[in-house]
Amino acid sequence: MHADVLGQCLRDALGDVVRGAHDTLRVRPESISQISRLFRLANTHRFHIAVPGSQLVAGRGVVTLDLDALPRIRALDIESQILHVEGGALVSTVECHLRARGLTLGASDVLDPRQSVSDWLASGAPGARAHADDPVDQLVCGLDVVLPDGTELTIRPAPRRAVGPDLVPAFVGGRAALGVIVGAHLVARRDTPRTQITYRFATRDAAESARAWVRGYGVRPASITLTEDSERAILIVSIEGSRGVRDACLATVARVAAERGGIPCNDASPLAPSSTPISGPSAIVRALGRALDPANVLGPARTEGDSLS
Amino acid sequence: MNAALPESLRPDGGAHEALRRDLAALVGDTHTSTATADRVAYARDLWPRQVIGVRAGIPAPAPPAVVVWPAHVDEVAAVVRYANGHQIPIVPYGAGSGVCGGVLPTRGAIVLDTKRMRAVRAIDEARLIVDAEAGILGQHLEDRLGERGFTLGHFPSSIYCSTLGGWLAGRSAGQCSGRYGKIEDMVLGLTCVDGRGEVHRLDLEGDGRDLIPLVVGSEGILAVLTDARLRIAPAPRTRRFASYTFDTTESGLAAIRTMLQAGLRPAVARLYDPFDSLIARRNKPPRAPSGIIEGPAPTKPLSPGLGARLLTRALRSPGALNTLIESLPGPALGGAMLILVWEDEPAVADAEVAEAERLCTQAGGRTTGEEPARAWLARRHSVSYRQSPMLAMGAFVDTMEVASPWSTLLPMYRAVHHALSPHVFVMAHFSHAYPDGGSIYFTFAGAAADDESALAKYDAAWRDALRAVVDAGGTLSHHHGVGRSKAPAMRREQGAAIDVVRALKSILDPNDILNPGALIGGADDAR
Repeated sequence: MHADVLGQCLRDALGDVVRGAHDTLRVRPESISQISRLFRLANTHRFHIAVPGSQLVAGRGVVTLDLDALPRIRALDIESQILHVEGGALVSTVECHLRARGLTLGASDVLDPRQSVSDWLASGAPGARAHADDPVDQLVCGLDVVLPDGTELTIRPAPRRAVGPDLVPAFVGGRAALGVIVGAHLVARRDTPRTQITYRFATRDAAESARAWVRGYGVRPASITLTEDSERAILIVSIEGSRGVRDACLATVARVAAERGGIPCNDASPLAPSSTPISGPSAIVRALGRALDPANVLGPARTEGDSLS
Repeated sequence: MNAALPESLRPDGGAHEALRRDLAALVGDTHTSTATADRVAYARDLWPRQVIGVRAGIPAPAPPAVVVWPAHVDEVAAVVRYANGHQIPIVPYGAGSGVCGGVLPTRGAIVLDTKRMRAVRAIDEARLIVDAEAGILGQHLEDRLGERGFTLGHFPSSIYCSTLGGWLAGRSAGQCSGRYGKIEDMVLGLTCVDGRGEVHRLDLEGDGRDLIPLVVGSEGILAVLTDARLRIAPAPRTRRFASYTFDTTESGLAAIRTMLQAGLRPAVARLYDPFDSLIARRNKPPRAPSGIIEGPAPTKPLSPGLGARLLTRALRSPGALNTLIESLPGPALGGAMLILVWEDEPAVADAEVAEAERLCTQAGGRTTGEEPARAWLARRHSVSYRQSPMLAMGAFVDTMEVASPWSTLLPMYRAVHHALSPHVFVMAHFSHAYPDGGSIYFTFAGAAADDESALAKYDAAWRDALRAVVDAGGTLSHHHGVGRSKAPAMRREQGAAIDVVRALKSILDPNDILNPGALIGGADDAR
């Protein structure tokens, strides 16, 4: 469809939430139902939608979905410490909202202040606490998603469930392969004092072993980062909680590190993190994306490098 | 002799034997069976609805055609490819201890028992990782780890009669989940065979990041699990115990929530409602000191005497009994009992015990010492063995474990209690707590004049309770899974997520041969 015709078609259907013209058409919906309608239009009129977190870029035949008009914090369930936010809320705004109430997302300071919750989650929530650091804790306990055919999918908040496959990791870190995240139930944590300690190890294996045993002994670090260069491996451990628990955990960390030749140091220089960055959806999840999106609304980027038919 | 067999178990003119011969060529002649005893044994799991059926004289409503015991992932793949080519349903089978009808073959199906795949392949002591095959029994895995000074930290009450593969398929939780997490929290990698017979080796750092959470919990409808890589921990050097009594369930829950949100991680935090507390207080530790792992306590069969008859009669009209107990103030029953167990390093555990003491006291708890927690630990696996005597006396017993955020946990408890009350006698405890919510474990018992009426009552109780869970904002299952028992209610909770799972199944199992009817329902839905 010609860009001008497409623009008019979108304005007729969605009103003044449609901005721009030609190759820079943007839709700034004010409700989830408008997003659903946009996706249904895309299925009917065969255009692509670039959504937060996806790798599809604006251009001919691509409409950009902008979630700026969905920035609200819908509810803070203070008893459960669960924050229900819209996908367009900025992560930094969410964090400020929580900090004012003595809570935090617990993510490290690498958060991009301009990043929306939708974009952050679709990219795998970089900076968030590793699940291995506290298997009882979680960041995302529920999601609101719009699937490529316009269906609204709600994963209700629950601390844990055993009702089939867990779809959350297919969306969080999924780079919008299966749909766009339009809301999330985020679990906040108490913003308590932290103590950070750093150990230097001769080898990566020794540092990895120390990290495993720290976790194995039941220490739940706020974060534990392994960085390395050709000559050393550095383990940066951050412990939080009440003074008594923190001191006991720090003593355990010190013992584990010493047993593996770890030497306390002040060196927290920014070596490259050794963790593998999230690589996007797997081949089967991409295939699932195609099954859910036969009209290829979410774009051709998802099909790259696939061998699975 | 054949005339004495139920119709479903009579010979089928040689088709089963022909199928068995084909499968024998893939896994070996002695590793297949069409024997009646095997077909009956593999026709169900421990779903109480089926157990009532057995009592009514229906041991195997839809027995499988053949049972196979492959020994290797390649043999599993060969069996699945064969079944896919011939469009024969396959039911992956661990130890059959599930309670939701997760393994309920359709007639003519192949049951694929994984128990010959039971090796512990490697224990990486430096990185705290174990590689084990899916068919290993839970206690055997724990024993092997214990010999080297480690633990998986996964102790479901079925640990003696459930497999690693079964745990993964159903998203199992162990009693120490507060320290080690649920089974899905321990998985670092796995191997599985999809419905086309393709083998997937998944690593959490690679393609497994999003696929492992999709396969784990899929209850055998997407793939057959053959082995897993799991995080382990050093075996605890010591344990710490504490218990408290609260006037109300509400104040006990507030104490647990405050502890979890303050970052404390007791391995066990179990709060019994006042009536369940009354029962739990009768548990005394065994006289002889025992080790870390204790066997199930023997259960005394109830003779069909006056006591049993009176109990059965009372269970036929549970409403009045539930109302009476509900009307009693908590303190009249002795209050709500909280037991806590820690398995951390001694210094960490001691610090957490001190912090827990402060928070529990603040929430109105009165310490009752270590003994109730020690008594629970000593008897912790025996609960699964208490159902048989009730069934033998003509009643039925079942359990239901649901979860929700803290803000809806107590309203859900009340709503489910209310929904169950007209049908069955009900009590509950709260276990498996998290910073954002927790799980409720309902135990209920009922009876009726005959088995047909018992089934009707059983079905009505489940239907009303599941509806109450979803309406209250909870999830249908925390760790038992869905099987056939909860599949009819799945759409109500999961909505469009069911369609996403169906789409995934169409990719991994295009002919719908893997455990059809489980989890997301199907044509053979048992209810």
